[in-house]
Amino acid sequence: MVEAKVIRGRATAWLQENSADESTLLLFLHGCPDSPEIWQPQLDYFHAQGYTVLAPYARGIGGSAPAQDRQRYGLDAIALDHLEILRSVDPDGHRKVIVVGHDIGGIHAWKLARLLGSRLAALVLLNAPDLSQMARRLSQPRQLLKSWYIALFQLPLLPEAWLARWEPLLIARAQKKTGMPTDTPVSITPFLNQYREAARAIPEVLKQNDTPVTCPVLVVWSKDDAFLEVPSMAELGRLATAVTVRVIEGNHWVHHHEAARVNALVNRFFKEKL
Amino acid sequence: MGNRDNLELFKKSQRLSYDCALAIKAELKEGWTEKQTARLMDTYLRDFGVKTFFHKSFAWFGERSRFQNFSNYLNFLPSERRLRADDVVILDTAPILNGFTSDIGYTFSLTPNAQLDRAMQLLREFRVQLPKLFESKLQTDEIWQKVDLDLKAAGYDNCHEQYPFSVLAHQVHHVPLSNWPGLTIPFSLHAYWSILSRGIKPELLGPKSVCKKAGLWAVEPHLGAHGFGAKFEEILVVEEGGRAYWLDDDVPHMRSA
Repeated sequence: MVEAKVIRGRATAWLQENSADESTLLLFLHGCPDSPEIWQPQLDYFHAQGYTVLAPYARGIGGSAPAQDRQRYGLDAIALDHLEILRSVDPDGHRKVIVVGHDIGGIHAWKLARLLGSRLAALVLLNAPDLSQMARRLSQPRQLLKSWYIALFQLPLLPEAWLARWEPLLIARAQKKTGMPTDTPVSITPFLNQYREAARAIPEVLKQNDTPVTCPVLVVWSKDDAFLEVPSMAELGRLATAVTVRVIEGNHWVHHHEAARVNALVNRFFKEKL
Repeated sequence: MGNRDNLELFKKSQRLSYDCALAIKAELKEGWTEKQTARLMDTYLRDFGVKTFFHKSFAWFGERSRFQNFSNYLNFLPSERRLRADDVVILDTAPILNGFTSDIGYTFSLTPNAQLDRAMQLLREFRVQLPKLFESKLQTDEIWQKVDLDLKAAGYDNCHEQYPFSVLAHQVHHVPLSNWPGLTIPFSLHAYWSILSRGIKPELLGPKSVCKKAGLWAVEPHLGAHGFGAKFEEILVVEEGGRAYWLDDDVPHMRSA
């Protein structure tokens, strides 16, 4: 069911299925160029398990209105949006929260995890890095080759013009080569400012001395990810104190193509760790 | 000083600032850093159309809320200090909304704190007294001395001695070109221009400055207690005829009284 409210002056929408009043909130953050419909198999599965499930539309997608101000696509602004969505479901802020992120949604998931304090019960990353992790990886040639498009997105105006003309062709090619889903809505353009703002935040993020996240963290990574290299325990150890890593067969959209397997894996993790 | 319409716009700016402080307070958790908190406040305000600031947001936690061991002005900047459960918190921000400056300070603790409650009660008494002091025959330097004496008589330190120019209050004005983003480190070029273009002394209420009382004053009594500080800050309107009143009485530190 689509819910919506005006958050700091902007219409903001999300998918939501309620469970019991005190049920844990499971927040799914989608990546580029997806929409929250990509999470439908997870929303159905975990709602049936008794969680209240939420999946926001990124700004500029579906009912989440685009913004003129580029900073509205920044990590802090998006984190405030996510906190406000959680508050609209749980006004007192007493319910536990699990955050699940994919792709650039994982960057927002790490950001949110550091703001939720003891409310955070667990964090799940599906083929998704933290921003500091991604920034450090850009010195690795293999990751650089996979991330060339992020550099292109930093240019002003040109990517918008390029996508206005070539986006359908590019998406068709990505669907063929990388496993990008063909049965859920996808569009790259609304994400350009997210990539720009994330890049702008890198110097500050690298300076920050974030303490590692202390809740259980599950990192699921597929072997044939066209965009991200498989992470090392060393880089994850900087980010969290209790990380479980599972590397499985599949492509970047493993939660879509291998939904049943991923759901079972994540659910087992919850049962063991929570 | 502004006309009635302008006062409404100053009030709108001040209300946005307090909404910001309350929104961030609602989300604030143990473990957040001062920097993280201040950045989220700036983000909140920008999302509501703020393009520049008189000064960017400050957050001070625990002993830093009384400026303990601050040896230079850089110490005022938000630090990597993390919030502990029983810390006192001061949030202070000064956005310029469509040219209208506000500057607020808000003190609270996430856990019950009887010492802070006592300090805030004293500050609320100051809030009643301050308009009367501005309406009285006291010169501005004498107002500073009176607040200083009263703070010390109540057993607190006067944190203003550590503020730039020891200010208890500073004037705020409508700022032109506020949609031009300026360098803000942490005070903006707009702020420096606002103060310097009018001469420094008439703008700042310090221990030795005798200035004209009429105007809009961001008044910020700040006391220092054992291990924490407490303050409020809001705009006091002082009319040419001498009448003084707070721009808005619906402020959170009075609501929680």
